[in-house]
Amino acid sequence: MTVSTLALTQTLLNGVFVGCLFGVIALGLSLKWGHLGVADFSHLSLTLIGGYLTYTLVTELLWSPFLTLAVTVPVFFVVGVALQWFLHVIKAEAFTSLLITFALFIVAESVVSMIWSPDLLSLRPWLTDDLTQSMKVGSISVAPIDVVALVVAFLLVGSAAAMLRYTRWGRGVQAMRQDPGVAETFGVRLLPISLVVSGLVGASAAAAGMVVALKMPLSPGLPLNWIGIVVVASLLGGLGRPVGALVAAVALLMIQNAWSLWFPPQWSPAVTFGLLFLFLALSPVVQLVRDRLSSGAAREALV
Amino acid sequence: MTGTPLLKCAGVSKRFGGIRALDGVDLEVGEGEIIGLVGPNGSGKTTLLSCIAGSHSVSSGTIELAGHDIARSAPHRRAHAGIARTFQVPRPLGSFTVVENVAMSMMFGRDRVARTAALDRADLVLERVGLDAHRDRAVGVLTLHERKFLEIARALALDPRLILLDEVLGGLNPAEAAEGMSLIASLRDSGVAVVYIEHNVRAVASLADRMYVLDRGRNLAHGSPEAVLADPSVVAAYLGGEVDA
Amino acid sequence: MKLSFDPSLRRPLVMIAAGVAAALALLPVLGSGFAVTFGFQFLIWIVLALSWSLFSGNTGYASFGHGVFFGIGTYVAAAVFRSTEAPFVVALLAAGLVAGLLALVLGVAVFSSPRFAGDLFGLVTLAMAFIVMTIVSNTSFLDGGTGVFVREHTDGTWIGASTRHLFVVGALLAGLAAITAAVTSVTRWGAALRSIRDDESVAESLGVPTYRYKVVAFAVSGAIAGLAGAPQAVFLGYVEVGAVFALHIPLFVIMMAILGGMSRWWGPVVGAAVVVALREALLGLGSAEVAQIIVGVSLVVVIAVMPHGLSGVAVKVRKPQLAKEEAR
Repeated sequence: MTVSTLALTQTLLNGVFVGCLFGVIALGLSLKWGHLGVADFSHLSLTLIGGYLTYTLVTELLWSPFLTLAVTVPVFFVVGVALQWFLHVIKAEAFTSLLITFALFIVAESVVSMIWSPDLLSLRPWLTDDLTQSMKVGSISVAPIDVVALVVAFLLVGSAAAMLRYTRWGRGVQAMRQDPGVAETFGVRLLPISLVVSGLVGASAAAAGMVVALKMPLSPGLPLNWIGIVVVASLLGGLGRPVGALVAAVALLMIQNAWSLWFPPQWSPAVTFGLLFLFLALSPVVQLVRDRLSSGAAREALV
Repeated sequence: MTGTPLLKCAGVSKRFGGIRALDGVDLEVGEGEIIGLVGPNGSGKTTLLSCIAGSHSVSSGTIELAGHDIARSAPHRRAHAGIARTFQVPRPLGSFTVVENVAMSMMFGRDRVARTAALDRADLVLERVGLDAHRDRAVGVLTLHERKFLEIARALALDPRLILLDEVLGGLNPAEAAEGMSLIASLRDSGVAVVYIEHNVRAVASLADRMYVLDRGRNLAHGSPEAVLADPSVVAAYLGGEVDA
Repeated sequence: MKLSFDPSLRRPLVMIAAGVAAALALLPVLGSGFAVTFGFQFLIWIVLALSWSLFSGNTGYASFGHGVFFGIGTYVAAAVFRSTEAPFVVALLAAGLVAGLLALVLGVAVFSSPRFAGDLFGLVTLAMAFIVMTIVSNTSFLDGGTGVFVREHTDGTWIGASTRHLFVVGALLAGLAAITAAVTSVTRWGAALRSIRDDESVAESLGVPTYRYKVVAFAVSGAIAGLAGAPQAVFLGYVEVGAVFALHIPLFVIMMAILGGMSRWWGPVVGAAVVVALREALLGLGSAEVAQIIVGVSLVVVIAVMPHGLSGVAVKVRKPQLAKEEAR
């Protein structure tokens, strides 16, 4: 089968845009997993709920989709803080946290389907033309929503990376990841930092949720389809690395989209996980090579 | 020392990413010998022990036990071959009682003793280290001293040819430490070889047949305790601070 | 592995035999309607909870993919019914075998690297669920995306004739799972698994070949779950990917094991009874969603307030001193 250059370009570009959306979701998972040690499945549910809240605010109160952020961002910040505080209070270990967030993930699916019905809900009919009408750049078409996704991704990933790198707090988070004990002796206060990180991640779910609502019809089971890409992107990008998560998500989606041009698309989820297993199988080799070359900062725990 | 040494490490290197924890270290232990391994903090003592026991893989170099290369063997195979170790911070198995912890070494060690028989034999070891009164207690309630001795008991229960002791006296009061030292000395009589790390250089010197000094992952000196402690480079490595001998 | 008979095993084994006998004796009383159906489902949950706990409870490697082995068992049995005239026993054994092999292959790969511990192991097993789902729904031999009607192939056979026959199979499987769990709790093999949960590198240093034990235990756990899939295929009558591999299955199984507590081998049985009863009562309220929410929320609450589960609480009541030492 031959595929025209145009079709390939368009497909890859669509991969970039969808990848940006997943990159934002993966950003949240990656930050919490890498820095707080919580592989938070419920982050995906929170994103979906963000989408539904956007839907309700737009359709019931006729707000602009962007205005909804004024409500969802603070609310989700509080939710993020509350979840982390709960995990702190019960002294949850990595596995316990995973189990709790997994339970919340399942609970959220039922809650959403009770509140908003199990049917597909689409925000599209409610949007103004300037959000839905595709623009033509040469023979390539770009939807304004995709530009929104791109901007949100760059803003969030960029500010997360900058905060980690250049602020005192961010360096505190980095120190916490490398050695909590040492970080604490140097005056990094673990609890407030982890609460704030979790809160900010929650807030990012609000923004991601808005993009989800703009981009696709909502249904309660949606996060199930995201788990694969989001988890794999977090791992491939390196846990706790914002830019890595975004790049990995974009690359994954481009590969998946290109795959579906030549091969049966129903196999594409397997591609994601195939890449994950390839990565996990190869990473000890990479580690070994890195060891031999004596560069980089690998951790003993991974050897 | 003649013939094949019990343990022979040659050119052992271990890198963690960019950090060279060990850089071409040599170490020889004869049958029944007590070797003191000292060096400043971060000199790679515990890393060397972990490489010998197998919990770390070596980046390069050879480790031979009685002439057989074990550098690539899994830790449990080395345990079966006769290497036992203790951990610097005691790590008792939390869901087992004191006697069960010791019995584990016997059930899975060189002889693969059946469970009930292992429990009986474990009692003998507990008696030897003075923990028999705590036989059926949960390990969580033990004091540091008792945990340290439980580490030794577990190692002894493997019926090893070589025991790797990692700061078993650290944090103990003088009476407990003296008890520990006589326990280590008694190992010599039973013919078990010992590689012994301790922060307290004087304690090591009083027990060891020979000493090795590591500094920043390299061999600095080795020989009789007297010779090693008189070595100017050793004194310099410690900056005169910690050697009060 | 030497399997000399341990006297402390006598009581559990008698209890299990009595339990299975009682279940079978109860059968005529149960009739053939709702009670038998409910009883069968309860027994299957017991098998799943015990088999999950056999590996995950003992070693501390929490698998989120237990539903996959159960699901594969279901599909393998369905395929046997559809493509052959073989009796039920063949379908049963094939289900267990294939699920066990899948677990074996996965275990051999996953446990070869120490990275896959803790939450990463959980995620890998979850990822496996998605992969297997994708494969099954795209393989026409197994499903091909349309689902499989099992009922038309089992009608007229012994197993398809009555739910009571399914109940008998379920009781025997539950007995098998319970015996495995009880034996594990007192043998050398169980001690090895628990030492892995406590501290894997210490276990190695004491001579425990942890890799081998993990691989074998994972395979046995998967095989038992796979066995349970065979009667499940007959029970469902029509199997399709969405229902068979639903994510709430592993969640419920984990819930049962944690609620019941894993410090005693019978903990998961208690957990299964509580969750099944709870769920049934909630379904009476009319909404599967409410049931799901309440079960999920109670899992969170249980983890928060009862880290040792119901069996841990029972031990605390009976032997306060021991429990205190256990809790550290």
